[in-house]
Amino acid sequence: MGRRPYDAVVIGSGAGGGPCAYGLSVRGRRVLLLEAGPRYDPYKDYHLHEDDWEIRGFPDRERGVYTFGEGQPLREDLGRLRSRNRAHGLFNPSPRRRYLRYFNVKGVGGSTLRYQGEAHRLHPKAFRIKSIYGVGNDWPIGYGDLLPYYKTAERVIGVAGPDADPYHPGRVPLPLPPHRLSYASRIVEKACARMGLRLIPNRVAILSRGYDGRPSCNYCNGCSYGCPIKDKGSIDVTFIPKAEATGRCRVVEGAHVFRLDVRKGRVREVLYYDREGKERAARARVFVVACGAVETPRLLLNSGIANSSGQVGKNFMETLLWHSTALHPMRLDSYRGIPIDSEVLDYLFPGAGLPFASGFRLFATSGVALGPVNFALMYLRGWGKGFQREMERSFGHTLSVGGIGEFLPNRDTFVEIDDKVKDRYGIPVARIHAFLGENEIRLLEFMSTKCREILEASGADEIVEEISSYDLFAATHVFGTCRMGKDPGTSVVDPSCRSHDIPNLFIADASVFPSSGGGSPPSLTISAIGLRVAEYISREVLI
Amino acid sequence: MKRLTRRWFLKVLGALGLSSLLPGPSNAASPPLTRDTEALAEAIMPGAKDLGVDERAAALMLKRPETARIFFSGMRGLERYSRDRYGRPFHSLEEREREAVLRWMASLPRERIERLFFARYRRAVIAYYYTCPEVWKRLKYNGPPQPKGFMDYHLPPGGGSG
Repeated sequence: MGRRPYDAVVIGSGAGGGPCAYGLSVRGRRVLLLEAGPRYDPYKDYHLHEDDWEIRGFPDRERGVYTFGEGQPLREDLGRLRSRNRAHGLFNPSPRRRYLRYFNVKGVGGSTLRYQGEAHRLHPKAFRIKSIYGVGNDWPIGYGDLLPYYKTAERVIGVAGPDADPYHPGRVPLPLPPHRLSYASRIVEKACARMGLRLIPNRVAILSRGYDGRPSCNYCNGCSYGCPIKDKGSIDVTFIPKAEATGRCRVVEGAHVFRLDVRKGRVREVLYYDREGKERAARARVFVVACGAVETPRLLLNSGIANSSGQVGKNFMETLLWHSTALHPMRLDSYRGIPIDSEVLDYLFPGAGLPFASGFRLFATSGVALGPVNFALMYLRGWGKGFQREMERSFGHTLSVGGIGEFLPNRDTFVEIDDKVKDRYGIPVARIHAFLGENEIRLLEFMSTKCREILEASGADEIVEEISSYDLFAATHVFGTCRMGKDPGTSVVDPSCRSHDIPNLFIADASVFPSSGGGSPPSLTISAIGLRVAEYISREVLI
Repeated sequence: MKRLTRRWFLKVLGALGLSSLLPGPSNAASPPLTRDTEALAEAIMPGAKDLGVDERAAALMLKRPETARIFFSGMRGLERYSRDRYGRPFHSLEEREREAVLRWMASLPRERIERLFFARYRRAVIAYYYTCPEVWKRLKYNGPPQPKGFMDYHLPPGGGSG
């Protein structure tokens, strides 16, 4: 590799930045990929083979620092939407919505290190919810614009799933066949059928057979603990090794980017602290920011750039989640399998007649208590021999279903800079404000009803836990803070994800999403956007 | 059977520079710490002592100064209550008496240090207890998840034909 300046600096190595670096380097471009976190070695760093794997969890070496705004007042008439647990009662007994955490991962591969491997194309209608439902925003691009990049991402990652489903037109076969449903999901499948719903195998970046030098999944279900055998297609084991193999992509871990320096209307260099805390700068012809919908606006706002629209940080959208867990009279051992092996898409973009606009999807899931430790701590009260007897009676009996729905942007939901709180480098952190609108509440009511009905139809006895976005902010998928659009007055980047203000600045993460996708997991779309940005830069900018 | 000792406490605390937190052995008011710690773990999860869970749970609480202080304050409260109510230290109590002490700790107001201590120590004991493969056998749990995985995931538990 030649010396600096690079053709491109990509900031962030997750679902968007990794594929973007790959797309640039396979086209002969020299790329510097800066990642704030460390590089994990799946064989050495993850703990799923140890007896105390549940206590150790994912080996986060560094967590992001954020602050949160005021919690939304909760309504007394919506008690049925509160998060609760049999052993511990209400998760949030306060009268206001509580911010728990924005779940992201600092590390080479970003949040895909912990994701559950869902790999969806957005539904074609997801790009046009304003036109269809009169709410939210349309995208300035459509399904067809992303289609070739979806295909590339599916091929590189190794997506398994059905060749076709009734909800996505014109699908081509995926690289790998779908996984068989788990024993527990087959019970949910029958219940859904009785309700007139169709549970279909999920599309996942989890290998159903050996692929591209990686082994087939062995169904340990530990995706969120870090996959130690590399069958999960996280970005660190797919796009990034391929980018590095070109000899044109250099990955620098532990690089805390704090400013983009703009001179004469162009980004001249990126400034960051390296692993030793030394300030460094890197120059290139093009800069791509791919830090996610919280860190990307933070970087732009702290740099004071790309915000002539005033929209940087606005239009924040979060994960709208409902999740119910019950005990089933039969032992199911639902901790076996993959985290979300099947889904119901009947409500993804339904027609008129429902009490909400846009849609949601339902899914069968292994839940969060994947082993005895979490089961005991989450669902049982007390101590002593009675506790142990109850554990022996009920462990392995959980059955969980959930739903994720569209979140419409609103004026009260945004990301800004918190000048009073700084990270360890003295850089102001992001403050998150998140409020649910009436459409979100109606969606939660409908999702919660459906989840309870499915569990009842499955023969489950007692619901032992319900987790709800109504009273808890615990977002994994976040979107929209640098949205894409044709109008420079109302959007941050153009349809090619290029800053309206700065011609050599691009954004390649979920912050460009004008809408949240109706509950579909965003990672594959983020990767498709990263690949599309790379091709555009190669074709139109680095000429 | 491995037993908790004062030397063990000193070793763990010494490594963290927290030795001064340990009550002195000659102080008549100091709790019989090692025996009570074992007995409390055993009351929370019978069998915990034989599995070394008491030591692991205590070590977790001694890791940081703030939780170490909660640990010692809580143990002191446990000792005081046992002596006041039954005239004996906790480890000398009958099973039903120990149960009553646990119920007392769990029912205290949230701000009481004994309640905070009990919540944390109970959590730690239960967590480490259920990391033990000996216990998993009774649950018919075939973990940990790796390296074997659960290749029978599509079948009923126990490998039936489903």
